[in-house]
Amino acid sequence: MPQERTAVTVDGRRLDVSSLDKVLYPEAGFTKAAVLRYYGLVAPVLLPHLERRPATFLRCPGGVAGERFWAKRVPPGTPGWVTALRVPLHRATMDQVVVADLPTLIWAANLDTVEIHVPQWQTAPELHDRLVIDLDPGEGANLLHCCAAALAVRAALAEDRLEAWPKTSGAKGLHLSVPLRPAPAEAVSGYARALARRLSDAYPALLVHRMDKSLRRDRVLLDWSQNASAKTTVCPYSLRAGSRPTVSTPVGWAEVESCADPGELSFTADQVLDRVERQGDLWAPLLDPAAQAALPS
Amino acid sequence: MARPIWTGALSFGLVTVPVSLYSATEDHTTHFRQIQRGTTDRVRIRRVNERTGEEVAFDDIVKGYDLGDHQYVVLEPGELDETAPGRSRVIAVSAFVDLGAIDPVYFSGSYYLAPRGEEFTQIYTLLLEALEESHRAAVAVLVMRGKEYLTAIRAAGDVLQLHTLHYADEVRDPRQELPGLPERTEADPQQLAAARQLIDVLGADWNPEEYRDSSEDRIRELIDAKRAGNEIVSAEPGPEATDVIDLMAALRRSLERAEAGQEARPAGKQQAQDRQTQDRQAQDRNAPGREGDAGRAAKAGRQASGGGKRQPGPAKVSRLPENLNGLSKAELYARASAQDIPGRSRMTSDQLREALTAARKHGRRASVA
Repeated sequence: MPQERTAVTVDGRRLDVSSLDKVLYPEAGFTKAAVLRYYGLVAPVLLPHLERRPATFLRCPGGVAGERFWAKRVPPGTPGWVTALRVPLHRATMDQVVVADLPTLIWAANLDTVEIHVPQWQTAPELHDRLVIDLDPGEGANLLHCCAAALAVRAALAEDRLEAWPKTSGAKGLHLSVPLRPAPAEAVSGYARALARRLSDAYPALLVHRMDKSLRRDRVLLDWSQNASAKTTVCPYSLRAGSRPTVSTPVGWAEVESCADPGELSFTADQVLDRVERQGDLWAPLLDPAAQAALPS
Repeated sequence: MARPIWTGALSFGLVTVPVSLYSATEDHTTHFRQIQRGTTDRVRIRRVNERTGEEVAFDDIVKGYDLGDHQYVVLEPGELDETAPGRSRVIAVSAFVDLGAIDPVYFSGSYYLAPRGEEFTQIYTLLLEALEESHRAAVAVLVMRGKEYLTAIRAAGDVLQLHTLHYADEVRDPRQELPGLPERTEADPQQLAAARQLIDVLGADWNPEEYRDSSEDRIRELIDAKRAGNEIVSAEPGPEATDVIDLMAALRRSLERAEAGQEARPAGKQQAQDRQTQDRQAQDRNAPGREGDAGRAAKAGRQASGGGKRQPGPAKVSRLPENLNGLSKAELYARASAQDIPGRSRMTSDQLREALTAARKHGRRASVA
């Protein structure tokens, strides 16, 4: 048997990484080492978006086409230096990992974590500091429909003096994120739902706000439900467990406006590293407390 | 905060208090891992059949009660479970005994009992005070992890302490165990007086903090000294080294293996491959100590291509250069990534094709030079 574990140092932390040669994306020949490398290199722009948010991991020990599961709780054997956050779960609580630094990120990736999802709040689930609108194309629609929808949402938000930043979902859709002055969870959800209704009434041929598959044909679902405290959304710069190693990628509004082919807004890990090197983090303004706007009452 | 190791209720006749049980003690021994001398390789313990030397699966292991003469009564795990006491959640007190009457030899483990919830603190305190005033311990049976424990519960300051006790037949008879146990004889009164005096002189209050495990201290000192002198065992350098290395170095090694594996993949479109990487691969194979890597790369290649059977051919076999015109932009991009062509994400299909062709020519020239 070849040596399967390698002891490495990451920012002074010692940890074991294992099965580096395992192919996680069979179609692309993208191995676990490539996943670790991607997360290691993208960490400087990724980590600030995970700060104080409990992470949910999509772990794929059998690769993206094989066994996969969602992991919320701190798993057994977690090193002592990994930060945890106690979050409410029904009437009890559970401890979730907060990816606070590079060693934690690499530790998580070594558990075959492909996707990282976080909620729209930091530390306290009652107070949300983000509003998220997930634009998910139904059958017959594609990313171009999502781009059109995103521009409509952007205009509606601007009327309420809210500014949104777009990213690709890394699959077929787009996500819009609005930094908020921390507001009660119900108020944010209520606002998002009302916005979704208003927009689907204004653009019935393009947008729907209800989940029914039949309604979504050729249209874009304006999914407001991810604003619930218990829900999570894939974080910026997370890989997606599709057939190719695509990434949920922050994009500029100019790219959304000029997009003429869905392929233009589909980025793989390598391309994202290239983008980050040239443009830095397009979502950096979201992290600035000054960007937080008040939810209209 | 510690986790309770058991939860249930403590029942004193008419009164019941929901309680959690916590360990009162922990072990401070330094723990070591077993590694093979001169390496950082962990030693694994396997269960093997004594006669055949073959490893035995966990499911195939049953318990045998030795009758001697290679005869055993065999018990299946299920059979043992059936004899286990029911999952009782009650510590039922059956008697209150004088605490001093329990010989310390019976004490086994120590635990703390805590009330489960503020509403039970009042009754918990009541029991605590009653036990304290009476100087008695409650004798009770506790069922935990499928075993029945005899216990004594006593007041210790603000907390109820539970001690697991040995059963009488677990305590050995010193007259049977110890050789040459003396018969009691009349002691010399003068010697006895001297001994008493000595005891008085050395008399002290019991103060456990004053005592330290000096053997443990010396082990830790030894470890610290070796660490400071960098006398840490590390393995031989080489591709299979298990010593601590930089993460990116470890990943680069793996990615190079994977890339070599993909290049060696014989199927379809992948057959044609770039000269440059081929040459690099040839160098890799010729480099001393890289045979293992090449083998692994071949294996990775087979996995990646869904079970192709061919071994990578000898590096000298020339392959046709790939026809870049037949490839999609994504495929071109993948090849450009593999070759680390700068600025690739901004290139059009034609530009990618051009860059790849240029890289190929460059590779040929390099291999000639």
